[in-house]
Amino acid sequence: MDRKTIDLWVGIFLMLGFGALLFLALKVGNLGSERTGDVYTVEARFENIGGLKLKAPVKSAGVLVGRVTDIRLDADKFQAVATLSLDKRFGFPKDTGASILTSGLLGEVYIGLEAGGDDKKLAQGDRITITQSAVVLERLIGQFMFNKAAEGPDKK
Amino acid sequence: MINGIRRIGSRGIDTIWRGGAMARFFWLVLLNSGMSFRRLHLTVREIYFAGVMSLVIIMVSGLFVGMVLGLQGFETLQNYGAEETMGVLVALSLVRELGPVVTALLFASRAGSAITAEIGLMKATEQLKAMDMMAIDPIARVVAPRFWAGVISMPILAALFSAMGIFGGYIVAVAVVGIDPGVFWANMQSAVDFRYDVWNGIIKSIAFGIAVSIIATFEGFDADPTAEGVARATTRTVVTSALTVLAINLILTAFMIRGL
Amino acid sequence: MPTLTTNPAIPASRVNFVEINNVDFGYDKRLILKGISMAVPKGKLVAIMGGSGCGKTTLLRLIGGQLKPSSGTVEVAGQLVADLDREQLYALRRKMSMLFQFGALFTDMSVFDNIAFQLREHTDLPEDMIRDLVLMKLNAVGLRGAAKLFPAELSGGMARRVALARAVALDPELIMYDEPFAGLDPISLSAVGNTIRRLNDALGATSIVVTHDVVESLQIVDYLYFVADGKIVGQGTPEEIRASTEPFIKQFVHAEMDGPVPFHYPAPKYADDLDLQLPAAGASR
Repeated sequence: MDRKTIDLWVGIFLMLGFGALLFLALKVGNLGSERTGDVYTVEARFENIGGLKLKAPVKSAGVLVGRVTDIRLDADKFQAVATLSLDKRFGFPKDTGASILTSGLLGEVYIGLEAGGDDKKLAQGDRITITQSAVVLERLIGQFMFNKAAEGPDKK
Repeated sequence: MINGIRRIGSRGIDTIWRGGAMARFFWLVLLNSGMSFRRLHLTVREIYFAGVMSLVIIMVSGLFVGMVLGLQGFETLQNYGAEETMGVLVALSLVRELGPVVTALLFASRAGSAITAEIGLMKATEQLKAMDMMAIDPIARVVAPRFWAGVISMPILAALFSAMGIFGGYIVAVAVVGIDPGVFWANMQSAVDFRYDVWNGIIKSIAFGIAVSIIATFEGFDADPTAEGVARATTRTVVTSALTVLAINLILTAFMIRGL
Repeated sequence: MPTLTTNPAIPASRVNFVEINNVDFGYDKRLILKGISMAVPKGKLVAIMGGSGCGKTTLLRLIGGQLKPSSGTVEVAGQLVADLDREQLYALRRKMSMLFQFGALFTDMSVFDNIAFQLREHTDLPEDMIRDLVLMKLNAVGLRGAAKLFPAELSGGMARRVALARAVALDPELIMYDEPFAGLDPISLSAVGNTIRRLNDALGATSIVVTHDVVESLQIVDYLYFVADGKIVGQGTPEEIRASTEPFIKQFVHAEMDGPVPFHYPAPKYADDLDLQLPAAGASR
């Protein structure tokens, strides 16, 4: 086993490894599709964020346009404040609405944006004013039962 | 009965003692690592014997494991109508867990035991003593390059294992089950997060590399200088490495799992 | 070359390259060496003889700094070996070399690389100069043609000679030989013995040979020490030893089966072990 052969094989080994790592990072993982620095952040306030988590996707018309990068509680107004990092390529009107939705029945929670009609676009640091909180299943059931009870005797 | 308890006690004390000796040895290896990098060809040679020679077993095993994951997962996923997430199942299982862990176990069996046998044999034939008498520190010249070769090789092998496994899953998904390739990759990409899944897997494999390499070199260095002693040492390397890797895996996973 | 002298003006270390003063060495309670004192004058070839397991190899380890004495001092080239730190010990070791009992050649490299090893590690000499030096050393032991072979391909005698060449690669001032004659055929034995003597004189080195081969030793050494039971039981020049009437030396030199060193390992009485009832004294067989 002379030196040159060993060096060659180790070089191939290292390149293979690096290649595998790149493959895992880009093709398998999502490293390539997240380019930090090409984003602008906006704020959105909700009464209830439900199951929304950090790094949850922000989608418009089902297309991924950004991520949720911060979630905190406004201790004065007791509202949830979510920070959305949106890809700079996509501009949204100032009256865009943000809703907390679930993809599928058991899927992950994400924020869906519905573009409005305003000429002016959202800029860095702006706030989305039209928001729809998450649907809390218990409230829905409670609401349903309340309505049913209200209809009550007439419908018997 | 008393003797049994006595044996457990003495075994336990022995294990703790060995752990301490291994920690001191680890420190010595780190202190003497300068030569491994100043004279890189020493380490490169060991990367060849530990890493390159393990390529075949790692890549073939990875392929098999990936394919099995695909096949096994298919049935259950089908129940939820989620066959198209097979890529997610295969990728996450491999990248987070099976890649680092199985690679570490295979590496310990193949390269780890070889390192232990080599160092143990050098000890038994007084080669290490001869080197010491020549004023060349055997830890710097013989042990440290092998240690660093293991640490460098392990993450690479784990990545290759996972990559081959995903490829195996792809074969099962597309060729056997008939999932659309585009959907396969798309689902996988949206579910596998680099920082959380891939990076954590890399951290695990580095930790395993350190553990297996130090165990293999220590057992060789500490072996009884007889044929029987070397044989016992190689067995100990494989067993201790396996237990340690799984224990570290548990600890790391517990820390890494979000949501707890 | 300085010779033995009783001139007090010359410090002892210039006369004796190795001095062992009243050294005890043992593990736990068992003492392997008790009160050993010996001196090896510079430039001389000294043999340490004794039965197997009497502590001869331990003496070499003490001189080389691999072991520390429980009491007493070991001085090499004027330095107290036990007091040296790692750097100093390694610096001292560069002046000495040891031939291990079975050669201890590095099995993963060729004969050439084995001998070049120390040259490459400790010097900055260019490769072509190293090549010349290695071939010269190999020539001195008659194995220049075997440079490309690997240790596994060598016979016992050849391996021993390669190890010899390796031991003198850096022209050391002190060479220690651990059983260099063990297991050799008569031809190799004579070759090794002669080479040891020639090297000692040619390099102006000091040599210590640990062995139990009396015949060869008496032919080549300047002085002998006899060790039994961890103590020195005899010493002298080859002529003195040959003529000695001291029981242990006599048994050793004339290869007598039984004497101060008993043939039987301590055991209970033979009759008792075999459960024999010996007939009373006087009865017929």
